[in-house]
Amino acid sequence: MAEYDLTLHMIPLLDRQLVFPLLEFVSTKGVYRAEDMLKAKYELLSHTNMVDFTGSLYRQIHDVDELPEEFAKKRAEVIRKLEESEQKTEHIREVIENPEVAGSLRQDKLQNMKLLGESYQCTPEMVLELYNFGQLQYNCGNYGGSADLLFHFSILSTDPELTLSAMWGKLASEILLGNWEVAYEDMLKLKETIEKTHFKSPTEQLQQRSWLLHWSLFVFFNHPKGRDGIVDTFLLPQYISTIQNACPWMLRYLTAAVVTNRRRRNMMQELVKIIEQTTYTYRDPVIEFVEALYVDFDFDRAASKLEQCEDVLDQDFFLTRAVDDFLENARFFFAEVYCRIHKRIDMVGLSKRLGMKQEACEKWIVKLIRDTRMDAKIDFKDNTVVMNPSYNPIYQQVIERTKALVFRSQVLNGAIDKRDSLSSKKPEQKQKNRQQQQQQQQHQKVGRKAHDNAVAAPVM
Amino acid sequence: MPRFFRGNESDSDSDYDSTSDSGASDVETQQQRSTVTSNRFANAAFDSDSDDENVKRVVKSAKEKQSEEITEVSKAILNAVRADEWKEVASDFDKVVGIAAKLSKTLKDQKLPRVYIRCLYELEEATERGRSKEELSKLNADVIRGFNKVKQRVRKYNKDFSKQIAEYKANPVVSEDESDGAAGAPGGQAALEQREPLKSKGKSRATEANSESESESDSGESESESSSEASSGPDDSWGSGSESESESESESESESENEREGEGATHARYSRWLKKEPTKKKVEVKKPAKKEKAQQRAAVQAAAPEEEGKEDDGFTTVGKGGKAAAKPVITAENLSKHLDSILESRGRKNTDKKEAVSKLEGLLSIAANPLQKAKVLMGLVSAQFDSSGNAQYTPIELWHKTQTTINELLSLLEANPKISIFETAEVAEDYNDFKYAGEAAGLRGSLISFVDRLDDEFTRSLQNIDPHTPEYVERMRDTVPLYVTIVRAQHYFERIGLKDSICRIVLRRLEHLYYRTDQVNAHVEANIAPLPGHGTSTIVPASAAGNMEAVIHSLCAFLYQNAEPLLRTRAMLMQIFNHALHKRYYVARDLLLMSHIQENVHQADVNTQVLYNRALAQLGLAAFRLGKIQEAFDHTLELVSSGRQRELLAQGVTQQRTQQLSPAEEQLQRQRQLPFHININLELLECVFLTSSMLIEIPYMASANTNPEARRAPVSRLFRRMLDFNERQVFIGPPENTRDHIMAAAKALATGDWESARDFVQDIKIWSLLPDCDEIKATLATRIQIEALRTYLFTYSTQFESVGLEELADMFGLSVAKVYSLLARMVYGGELQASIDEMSGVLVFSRASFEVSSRLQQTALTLANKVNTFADVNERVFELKINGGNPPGDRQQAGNEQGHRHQGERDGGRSNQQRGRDGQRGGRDGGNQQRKDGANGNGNANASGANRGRGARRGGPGGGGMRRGGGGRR
Repeated sequence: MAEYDLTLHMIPLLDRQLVFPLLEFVSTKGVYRAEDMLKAKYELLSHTNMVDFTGSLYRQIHDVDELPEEFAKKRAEVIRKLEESEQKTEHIREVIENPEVAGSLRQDKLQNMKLLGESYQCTPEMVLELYNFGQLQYNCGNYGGSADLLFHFSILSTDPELTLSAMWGKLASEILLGNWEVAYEDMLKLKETIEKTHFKSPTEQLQQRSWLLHWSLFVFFNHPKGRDGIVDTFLLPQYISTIQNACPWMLRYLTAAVVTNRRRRNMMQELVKIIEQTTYTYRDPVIEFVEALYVDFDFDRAASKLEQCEDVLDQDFFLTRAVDDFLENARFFFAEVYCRIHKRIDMVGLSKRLGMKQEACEKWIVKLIRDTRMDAKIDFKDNTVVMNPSYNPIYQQVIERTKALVFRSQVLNGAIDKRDSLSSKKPEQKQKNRQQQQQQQQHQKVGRKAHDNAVAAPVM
Repeated sequence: MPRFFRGNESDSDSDYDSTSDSGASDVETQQQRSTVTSNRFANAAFDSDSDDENVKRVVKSAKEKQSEEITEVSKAILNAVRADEWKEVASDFDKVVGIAAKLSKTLKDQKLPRVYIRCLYELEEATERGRSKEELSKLNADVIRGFNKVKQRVRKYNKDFSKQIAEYKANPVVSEDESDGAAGAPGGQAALEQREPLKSKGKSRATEANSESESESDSGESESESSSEASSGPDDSWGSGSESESESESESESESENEREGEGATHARYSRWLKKEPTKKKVEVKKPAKKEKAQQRAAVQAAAPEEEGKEDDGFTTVGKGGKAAAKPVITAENLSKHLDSILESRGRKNTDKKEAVSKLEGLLSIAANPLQKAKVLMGLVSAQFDSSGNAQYTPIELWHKTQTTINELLSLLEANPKISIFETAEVAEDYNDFKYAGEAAGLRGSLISFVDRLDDEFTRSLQNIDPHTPEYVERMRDTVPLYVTIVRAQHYFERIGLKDSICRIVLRRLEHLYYRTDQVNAHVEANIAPLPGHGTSTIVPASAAGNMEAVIHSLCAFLYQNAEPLLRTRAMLMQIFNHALHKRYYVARDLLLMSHIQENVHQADVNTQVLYNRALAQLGLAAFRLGKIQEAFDHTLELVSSGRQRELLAQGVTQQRTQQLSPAEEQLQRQRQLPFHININLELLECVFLTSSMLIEIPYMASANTNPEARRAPVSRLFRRMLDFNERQVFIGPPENTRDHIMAAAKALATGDWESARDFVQDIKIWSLLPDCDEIKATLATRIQIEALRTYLFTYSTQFESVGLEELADMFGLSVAKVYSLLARMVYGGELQASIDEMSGVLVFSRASFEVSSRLQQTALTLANKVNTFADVNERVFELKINGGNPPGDRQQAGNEQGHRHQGERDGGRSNQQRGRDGQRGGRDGGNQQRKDGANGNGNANASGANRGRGARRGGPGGGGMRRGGGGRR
């Protein structure tokens, strides 16, 4: 299954320490050779300051008890540095943690710096030291400390580049700590900053965005609201273009998110369009499932792809927990398309395609019919599902098209009236206008309901 | 007069002068003595401006005219000032300043006429005097404006003349009698004396010798002569300088002759006043004599070059034949001088360019060391380029010669890495290059311009040769050597690191590569392998050798990083073209979209636009070859339906009935035209377009039954028009040309007769021009089957209750699975109001689709649509006229939601085809642009703006929303 493993794609766009959980996961799945994995982990962490852990990895790889001297040296060095930084930042940390100070800080960063400088003798160098200390802490694996420090730094610093970098550090720390709530907010902030900042070159912005896409996966698939968040974020035009330009494999996660998020069904159309445009650069079973279902309408292929999906998702660090959810929803989409197209459906065939027992399938279909208010009936005699496809008859179409006209004309009329009496009583008119509109809307809703009842042809 | 002799002649002149009889030197010494007196005279004379009416003169020199003019105008100004006519003063002042500028140029540092200075002074006085308000208010506006203008200008202008004005102030008396115009005896004499220096100056001006002071008068002439001998500056030879000057300047020989005559006359008349008359006379006599001799000599030389040596008695050595005679004179030591003199004559009138070439070739054999050789070669290349004259293109033979010379130069530079040619090199003033011993040396020159020119000439020759003759093919053979030269030049530039030149040469190289396929390019590229610098190039890494895609990519990548935007754009377009040529459609398209080139290409120069059009056309062809009909259609649509594809691709001129091109424009267009072998086959392009149109348009037309949108706007107007025209014909013969074939196929397709449609399309001969013709034909056949099926279903859906899937598969030669997939797609998309019965394997049409056919209902639907449009228009009118561009009232808040829901419902009933098309089209126009925006997020607003126009026009599902959104933004 190494074929569909995205770890290699993702490593360049993640932080060292964020990669670690990925590697851990992959090694438990046994996709790659265990020794290679160990080496990779060692290589990964040897550039951080987590000396002890690296040392134990070293021992595992080389199967020795004693560590080379450099480990001890490095350890001493790291500890020395930590102490040094701690001393240096002592003053400013005290100052910041003083609630009085926190209360007096304002939006304006320059003003804040001035305040700190005047009343508490904090120099910009000290603030910078916060950043360094935070980075050091992060490298040592002390994420809680680094998150705090970097947060303070990003509030105080006036250097936009370092601020951005501190925000990344904070996000990574929160992710590694597992504070999803905080991480989610941090990520949104970061997203905003990236959009607002003017980067020197478009490439740089592209890079920032693709980082964000990758890092956000940790958050989205762990935060309760993540499923909505990922769809909203990834489908933003700039992120779609980022996916298509820099990291098409992210399409898997987008697809999975859209499929599992049944409430946002209308996103499917958009997704299909993107998939159609992108499949020439990247494809995997998850995407191919959607492609087979919505582009080629090849149900057999879609079914077989769905089977593959199970394995692929299981091997994926982020999606492994969503496998069942995905399969359930994928079946739902499958059935929906199937029902839309067919008049009579053979239950045996369908259950086979969906990979279910016939009885379970029957139950499932009943549930489906109830959930979606499809106009369908199960015929036990032939063991079929009979659909009553409903088309908007022409008169209904005409009604629908002209329905809004009344409202629109009224608004227009109201606008003209308002304009006439604009000079005298502007606010009053506005309120009145709004009331009118609300009434109008209610009126319409009522009208529509009545109409629906009369026609008794609900549209899915 | 040929250049070749001029150099010699200057020699002979110097010889002549050095061995000249003592008379000349006598004259000089005498003149020097007389300078003092004449000097005084001159000064005096200058102060008192001559009254020209007193002297009857035949000819006036330009300078005299100017000084007269200046006097007159100055006086006019003075009068006008007194009369308060400031408007005239203003215009006169402008005039006089102009003349003064000219005059001061001719006079060098002589003083300007006194009256002029006086005029300036008076003006200053008058303007600075300050006027009271009342006084001003009496004058009319024009006058005041003039006054203010003059005041400002005078204040500014007089600063330069403050010294002279001060002088004038100090001694205004002289001017008094001058202005009276009184001409006493001394005055007259002075006037005459004043003319003398002017005259002599007029001549010595031609020599362009070092600036002499006016006091030097006549002696200046002879002195300049002798001094020019002593100095060996670049313009040392008086003879050549003056000769060429007098020839090239508008005052021809005859005029100067006249002048001399006139001079003689005045001399005769006023001789009694002149003390130094004898010496003057002698010089005057001597001058023409000398000149005549020179002319005579030149004439003889021109007539019989072989005799030149004998004729010139100044020479010590006499040889046979021109070159033999030159040899002893021109040695390695003085080669540079000769070279300079030849080069100087470049571009002058009456220069025999061919002679210059042969002379330089002679020099080449003399050149003693690489440095000299390089110098001569550079001169030779320019001379060879010059010698093509006014022909439409350089004669091929000459071109070959030039190329050889450039190659020689390149080999020389390759062999002597210490010598470098660049534009900012300092010109060495000393002529010791014969001592050159291999140290680093820089020569001023531009190798890139040579190569550019060579390439341009090649292109021009191809433009002018009839492409259907063997001559053209013959000419094409030179492509490879030319390419080799370019690559050599590139290596050279890389070595000496001329960034600008590297970029240009790399672009040249690309221009030779991009339009050819890899196989051809690989063949060409094989020729550069034996080059000395091969493999050392950093631009094209050695690993890329043999892989043409990599070579082109590395060349382009270099330009992307280093070149200026224009070159970058061009490189990008060429790479797109090349990718498309090799069927790498996606790569090419992504490059095009990511570059955002389409947004600003209309601001680019014409050549770049042509390149853009070519890239687009090629992209269309690539899409077609991959079977991407929709994309092929989109790419070629604008190009072909414009009807001006010839112009757009710079492949000729279409006859236009409506507008007549001016000859200049036509000329320009002809110049722009690309050589034939680079051209994209227009017929193929049209064929691709029409075939794509057919495959899209025919089912679309058929769906008009169920889809009212389809009835309104055709996808391809051009295709519709052709089809209509074809159908209106009474008798239709068997198809002959490409267009006929496609029309016949279209008609067959419309009736579902896919087999004959396929045959018609496959019969088109032009497919053979595509490299993978069979493959394309097969793809086309499948596409035709599919579209025929769709057309059939659209057309006859109302006539059936149900259709068997297997029957359909049978009818259209498709597999059942394929038919199933197609039907599913149509059903799901809402194109067909039907559903599949899985059990019995039939497509069941729903009753609703029958109802659509009811006439009344259709009309009602149309009415509803029209009313909707009406409401739209009303709203827009409101926005524009009443609300100042804002949407009416608060509709935006409450109404948006409403609108959305409404929109969504409407979409449901829309045909998927429409949507699909819009989506895909959006993919090209804006949507894709958006998605390929890269990091440039804010381009989106623009992109959707662009999309908006089309969406709205086509009434697609995106249209309404987009339009509304647009309204909000407005």
